[in-house]
Amino acid sequence: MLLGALASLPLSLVGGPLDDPQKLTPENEMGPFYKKGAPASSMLRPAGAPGFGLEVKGRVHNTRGDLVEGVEIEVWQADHDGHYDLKGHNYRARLVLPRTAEYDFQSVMPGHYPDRVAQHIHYIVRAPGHKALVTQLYFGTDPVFLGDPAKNFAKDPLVRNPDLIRPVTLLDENKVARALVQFDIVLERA
Amino acid sequence: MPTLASPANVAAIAFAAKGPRLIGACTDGMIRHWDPTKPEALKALQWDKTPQRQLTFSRDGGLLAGVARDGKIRIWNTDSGALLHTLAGHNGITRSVGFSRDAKLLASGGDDRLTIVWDVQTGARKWSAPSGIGEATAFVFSPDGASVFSPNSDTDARFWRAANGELERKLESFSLSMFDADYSNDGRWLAMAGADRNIYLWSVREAKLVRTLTGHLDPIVGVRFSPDGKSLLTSGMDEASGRNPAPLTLWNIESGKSRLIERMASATDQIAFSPDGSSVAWTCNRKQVEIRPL
Ligand SMILES: [Fe+2]
Repeated sequence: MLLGALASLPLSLVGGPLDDPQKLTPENEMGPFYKKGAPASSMLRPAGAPGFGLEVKGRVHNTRGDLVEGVEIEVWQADHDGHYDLKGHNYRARLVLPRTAEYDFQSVMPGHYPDRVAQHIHYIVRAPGHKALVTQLYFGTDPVFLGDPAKNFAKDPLVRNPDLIRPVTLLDENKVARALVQFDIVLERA
Repeated sequence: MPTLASPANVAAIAFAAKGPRLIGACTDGMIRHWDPTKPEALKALQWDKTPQRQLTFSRDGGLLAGVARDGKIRIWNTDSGALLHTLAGHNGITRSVGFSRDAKLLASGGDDRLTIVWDVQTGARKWSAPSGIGEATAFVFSPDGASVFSPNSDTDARFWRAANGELERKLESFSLSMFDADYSNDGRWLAMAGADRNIYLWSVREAKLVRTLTGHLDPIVGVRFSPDGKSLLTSGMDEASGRNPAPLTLWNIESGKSRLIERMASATDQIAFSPDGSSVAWTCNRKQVEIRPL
């Protein structure tokens, strides 16, 4: 049901601006639950943990359109039930990007939690010679946006820029459905 | 002691230095003054109708600072309701503000990753300095006004010299963010607590963390020293499961022992000791202020 709205999503509205390598990815707050020391891994989901499978991938440019070298990304999110792991590092990871400036990680769709309206994944993106970017990724399929993120992004008052709400592609592999999201990032040179 | 009643939610509270009086900033744009022994407000005055994201009183309740959605910081006199200053300094959202004990300085932090210290009398900016890449979660001045402490959601915390913004010290040993802090009145201790559920006691003289109090099961959002500096009041976060609703806990800092004062409706950093230390008050942004004798 949740993903049913996808077919009717006007993808151009939610996917357009970030595909332009010149446009800086908007900042969004770090929030209270960042934790230092996340493991270097592309698997955020602990083995056997419940939830709807999610893969996120993307590429990091700067505002001149150049691929950025030496990028490190920290990502963290709530589990499928909306809880952050504060004791350990579940659903937290550090990604060290290759020269192609591409990243890819496996997780589950984050749950909704009481003080936040929209599902989201937190990002810190760092690279030598560039300003550190703190932001969040949102999902076009989130029922909060009523199928029209460009119009309804402010349903979550913390989402101040609809560019951060990304379209979700549903994949059906061997009868197991999972979600794929492309989130390309543009950094500002320091 | 009664529950103090308000027709609108009470977003922030302070005990007046000259009492007994409790002052509340309410979401209907009114400041209300109560005698803490009587449920009905003694006086209510209009201060502003602009919705405020965050409200903070000076220590003696004499001034109120509000941060609006326009990013500007406004300061009001709580006795007259008069607007004293509108401070426009941060580029983007202002996240957190805090007064010095004598209310002569105000520190603020914004999404521009700056800390700004303002002269409250003139409204002028005294200095600004770069802070962390996350949000400033609190600004706490030492009782002598010499130093201002600020934890950040990037987990680091900084001490600046209040006079000129010189960075005195940066604490990088936490792995989760501190959310609140408070100095003891004698200036010997700084208590800080946050997402890792621990309460840390920083010895000002030794300039190091010397004690850790443990027992909270969820993140801590509020910390206040008792006026005599022997006890700490802490406010815990509401765990989403509801099995541990927001605890308000009193700690003996010598023994490390604690006792539960109340399970509150929701987590709040709006907790306060009465000036004589005989009672505590809190508000959970509801239409009431709770007071408990200790
Ligand atoms: Fe979050």
